[in-house]
Amino acid sequence: MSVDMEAHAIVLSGDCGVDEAESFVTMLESRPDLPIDLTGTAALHTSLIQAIMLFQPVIIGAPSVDFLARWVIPSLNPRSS
Amino acid sequence: MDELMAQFRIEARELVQQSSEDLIALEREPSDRSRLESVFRSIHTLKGSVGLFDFQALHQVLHCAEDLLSGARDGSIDVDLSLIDPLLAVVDWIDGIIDPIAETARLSEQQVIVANSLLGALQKVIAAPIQTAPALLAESIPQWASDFQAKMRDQTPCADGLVAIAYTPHPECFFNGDDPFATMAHVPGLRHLTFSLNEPLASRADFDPFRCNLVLRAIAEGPLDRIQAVFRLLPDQVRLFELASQAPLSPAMEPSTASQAAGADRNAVLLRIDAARIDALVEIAGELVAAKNGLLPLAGRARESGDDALARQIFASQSEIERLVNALYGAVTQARMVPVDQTFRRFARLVRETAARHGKAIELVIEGEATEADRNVVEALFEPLLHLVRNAIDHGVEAEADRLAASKRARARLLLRARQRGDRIEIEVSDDGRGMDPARVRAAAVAKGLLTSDQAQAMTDLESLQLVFAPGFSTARVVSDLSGRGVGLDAVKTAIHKLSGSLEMTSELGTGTSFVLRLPVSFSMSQLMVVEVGRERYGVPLEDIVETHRLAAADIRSIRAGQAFVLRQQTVPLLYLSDLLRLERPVAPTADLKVLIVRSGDDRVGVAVDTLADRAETLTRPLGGLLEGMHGILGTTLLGDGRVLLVLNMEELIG
Repeated sequence: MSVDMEAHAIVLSGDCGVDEAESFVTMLESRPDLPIDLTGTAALHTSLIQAIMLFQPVIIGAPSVDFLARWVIPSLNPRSS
Repeated sequence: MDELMAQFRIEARELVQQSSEDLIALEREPSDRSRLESVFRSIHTLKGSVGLFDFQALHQVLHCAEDLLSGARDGSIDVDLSLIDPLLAVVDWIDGIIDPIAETARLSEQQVIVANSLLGALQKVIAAPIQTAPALLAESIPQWASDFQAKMRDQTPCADGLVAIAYTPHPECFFNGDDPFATMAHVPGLRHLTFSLNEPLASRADFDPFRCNLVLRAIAEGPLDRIQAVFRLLPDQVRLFELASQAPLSPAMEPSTASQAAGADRNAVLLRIDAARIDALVEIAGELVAAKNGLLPLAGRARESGDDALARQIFASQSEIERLVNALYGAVTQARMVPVDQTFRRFARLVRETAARHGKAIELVIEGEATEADRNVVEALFEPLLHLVRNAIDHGVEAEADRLAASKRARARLLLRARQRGDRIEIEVSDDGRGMDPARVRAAAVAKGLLTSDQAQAMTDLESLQLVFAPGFSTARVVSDLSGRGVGLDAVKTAIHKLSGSLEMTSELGTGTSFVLRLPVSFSMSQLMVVEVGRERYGVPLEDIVETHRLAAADIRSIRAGQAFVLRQQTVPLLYLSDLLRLERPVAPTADLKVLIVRSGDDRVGVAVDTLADRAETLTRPLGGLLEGMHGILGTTLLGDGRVLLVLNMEELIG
């Protein structure tokens, strides 16, 4: 689906692919104060995971996808809630 | 050139040499795992050294070569000629540019162009479709995996064992549609996953979202083939390690750390020392040998003055010092010893190339390469051996068709073998080629006017073959007419003689030719006979002296202007050392003469001296400065009493 900047967070919903990478990075750069919301994330492309590793935003919500929730998100960011 | 660059030059040479040797060995035996590991290590280390300098194009080539070898190690690239040839081309090229680039500290434009074309050739190998199913399986288990395994020990074991996965996605992988995490999500039975940046970024400004800069490490439940299936399209980016379930923790290390550790180990036992420093030690030790002899006369004087106790003490210290000095001398000499391997290994590539140029298949067999000899001997061996090996390939070995017609193996065998025989090293160069025909050698020698046909007829076959060593025997025309060889064999023999060695040849028509070189293991110490003429003393190398002879004045025959005597039914010319040295000759001899019988070419010559003093084991130093190259003098040495002794070169004096 898409990556959107909303008032409270950058929201990643549905299948987030490599084509979102550039705009996602621009958002992270412009609003380092905003958390990212992964509640509705169905798939997260490696390029986006890499950007999260680097910018270390606060993460809110947990994706329903077992692989991401179990293996990826916990290691992404110590500040994640 | 700065020190770092000088070091690079030395190291690069060694690494290139090692790589080339390993690659040639791999060509013969593609399954030789240790050679593959060795060439990988060499290229890896070389890449590291090159990285210290501004040799970017070279670095890229080595990087690519390393990737290829890494692929060969994990089985994703086949070890065959399509891999070895471009790698050898790279190694050859580097061999040729080490010196120039070490001088200028940069690559010339020309060199960059060559580098790029080599890089292209290497990349073609990577791009080639993989024929066999990717094995992906690496041998040693990385540290992180064994750490994890240790933590897992009290958990439920997995029936099919565990597999450690190290996945370093290609930086450009996103453009190929790869999504490394999605791939990882497909791994069945995941037990553990960590990931991190592959290379730390200097700043976020450097971040390129479309470039993958990650390392993923995982542990999953076997069986292995299920996991291999997931990564089958990414063999070059993934390495799998099978962890035995419940296996005791092994101290295995990641290959790169393992090789570093091995390198560190080597550093601990090997020290690179400037040869000049060792030489200085050898000299000092040699002088000590002489100096300790000075104690003996002291003891004698103590005894003469009636102090027996002091004399005994001096004797005791003298023998103790003698023992220690000899041990010291032995140890320092040992430090100059190197294995002949250094010289031998240079032939692997040479034989391969020369044979290919002549369209002949030749197998080089090297034996006894660990045999050691003095560094100078080993270095000096190369030229003569080069002659012999080239000759063997050029002339000794027949064309393949001729070999088959003679019921021989199509592939010829060239043997290079070293052995130690007492204080000499024996090196054999033999081929199983066509051998030499004594009749043709005789005919060629007669045609060259070296001897008359009558003389030739009187020769045995064995003697005839030795004609190939005669100066002037070999000219290009004769050699090409003749089935055998002969190119500069007299030059080879002369070179070996200069090293105080000998060269012998045997050859059998149809079965091959064999050369045997015999050289002293070490030059440093030589045995001298000390002789007196008038009031002077001189040293004569013992190896020059066949025997000593006491000659009654009455037995001297005058022949024209010269003198001679008969020794065992042979007339031997008699010379006087005093004449040879242009000293005053003592009045006509009345008593018996002391005569040294010395070799002069194939003949023997008697050289009369006044007194045969003692023998001495000393270190002869070549003349330096103004005296350098002085006719008839080999060098100087110190005697126990501190006097300098001139060592004579008998061959020069007589000739």
